[in-house]
Amino acid sequence: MLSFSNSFHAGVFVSYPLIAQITPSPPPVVLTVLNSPLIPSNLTKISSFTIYWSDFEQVSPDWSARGGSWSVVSNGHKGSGLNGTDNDGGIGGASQYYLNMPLDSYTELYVGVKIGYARAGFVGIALINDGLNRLYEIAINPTGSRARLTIYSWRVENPNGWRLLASSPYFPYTPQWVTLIIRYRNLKDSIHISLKAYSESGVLLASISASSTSPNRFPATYVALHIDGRAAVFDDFVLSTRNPANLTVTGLPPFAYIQVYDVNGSLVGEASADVNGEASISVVADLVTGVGDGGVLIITSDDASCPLRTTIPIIGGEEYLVSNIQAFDGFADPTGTAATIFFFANYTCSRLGIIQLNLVSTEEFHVRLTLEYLEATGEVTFIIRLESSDTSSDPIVVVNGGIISPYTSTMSLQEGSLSIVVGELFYRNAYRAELFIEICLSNGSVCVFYPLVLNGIGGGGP
Amino acid sequence: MQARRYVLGLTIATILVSIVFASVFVYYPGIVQVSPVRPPIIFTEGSNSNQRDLNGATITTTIDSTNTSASIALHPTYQRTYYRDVLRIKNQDSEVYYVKVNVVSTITGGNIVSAKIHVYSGAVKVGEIDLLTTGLQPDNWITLNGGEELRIDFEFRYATTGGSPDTAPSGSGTISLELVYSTVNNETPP
Repeated sequence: MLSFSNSFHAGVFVSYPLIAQITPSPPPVVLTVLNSPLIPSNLTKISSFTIYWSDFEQVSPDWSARGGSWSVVSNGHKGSGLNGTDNDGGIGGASQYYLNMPLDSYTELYVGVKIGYARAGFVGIALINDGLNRLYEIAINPTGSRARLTIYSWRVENPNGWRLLASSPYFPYTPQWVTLIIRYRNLKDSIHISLKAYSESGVLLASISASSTSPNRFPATYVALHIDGRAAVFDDFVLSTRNPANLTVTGLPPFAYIQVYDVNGSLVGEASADVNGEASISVVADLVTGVGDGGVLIITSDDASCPLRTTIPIIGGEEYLVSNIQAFDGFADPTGTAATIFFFANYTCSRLGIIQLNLVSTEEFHVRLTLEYLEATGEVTFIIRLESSDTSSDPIVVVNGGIISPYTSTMSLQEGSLSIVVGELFYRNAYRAELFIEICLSNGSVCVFYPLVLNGIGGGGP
Repeated sequence: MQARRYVLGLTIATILVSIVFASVFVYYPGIVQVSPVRPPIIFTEGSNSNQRDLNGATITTTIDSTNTSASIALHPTYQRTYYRDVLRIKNQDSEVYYVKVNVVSTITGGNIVSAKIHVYSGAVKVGEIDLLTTGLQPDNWITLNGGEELRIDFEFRYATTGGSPDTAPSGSGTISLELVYSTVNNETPP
């Protein structure tokens, strides 16, 4: 009976043969680690052409008045400025605010200054003798809706009065921040002075020059802000042995494009570098970038734009050197199916290509990236995406160590290649991110997965 | 008279010995009714059977005319290669069956690091078979309800040691398997 019961409940077992024939094949897509570009890491001033500069953010004991009333006001060109109101109490019945710094040793000088709210009279720069009783007045002379440039001497060509040395034709003028660039040269037989005026947008309005050959000519001992009639506001004063209308930046990638912004994001100037990585940038729009608190250089090369923040004053006429560092290093597996990357510094450029995926078969593949694991002892922020020649995927996004989006969108790889691009990389401490590159035949029948490891070392920020 | 008594005795003894040593065969009527049935469990092609494989090859899925044996040819590469839905196991009966896979023989040596079958019922993974380990797997029977089917995915991992972008990884061969199914899930097949 027991035997019968067992038979009744026994299972039926059936087996079918199943064969899997495995024939490995070469990888259909091979990755290569790209060469790291040099990225800007620091800006240093490598020249000392500036004798004195001021953005008139506060009253300075470096200056003395000869007539007029002078005060720091809030409506300067970016920040404060120096307001001067003539009272006919200075040299030549005008008013001067002169820099208490003898300049006799210089045979050539440049003075740059911005002038605002000038509606009438003569407003500009005075070069004064050591006795503080003769001067050259280099000024803009607004009259209604027009203005002209003038160079006068006081008690030089005319022993007892003014003498006009040069005057430009009148040009259309509305009150604005005009930049004056004055070049002074003490030549053997003359004092030569030239003046250029630029509009607020940096357009040259007019230029004049004059020579003073009078026996009463003098080497400039003092430079002064000068106003004769009415009032005006002065700002961005630069006294230099080089033209403050331009500054030079070296250490750039050849033919890089550079833009200088103040800290508030206003464009100051822009230029292209030459083959040696040197650019001359017009800064007539802002001789002292911002309020002398540095700025941001945007350096664009090879489709990547890198911002470089600096806190050193950016002054027209000076030369600056951009220091660069290698962004990353890495190696691919000998089969081209895995890679490890080491980042050395924060990277705030628009894009940093780290890996290229090269198709070696004729099939179409769909590719995406997945962030599988992130180990970070401190905050880490970055985005990673795929790029083709004309489009890019949605990115993987990590913010402050948190994975906001672990996948890229899928991109087609049918011919040519795709690049893996990193951007907005910021970290304070070492991190490790493990990703895989998912490469599927376009019909989804088979997928291969290549590991990709990103390590952040060094770098970091305050 | 004495001689006749001896003959009679010998005859009786012979009969008695014959009775003691003779086999007894007894026959009762018993009937085994063998009625072959159509296979309740069959192989069918997956959505990626005979579709494109890497490097111009094909995911070849060959199923015999009775749908009770199958052969699959795959062409994985370095790192991890995943084949989705290259074979299905279908229950064409209305009753539940229980499924396992017996790895009879496998690949050894070369760059192969792992080889697995992932078994899915719909979107739910219901079993995993290590193809580099012989024996019946997984530990628990996979339930295949009446009318339902299971999806078979293959996954391979190949190390890159000694490899190059132009060469296939070593570690080719044939993995012989048996699909085992039963009407019960509480016994071990013989």
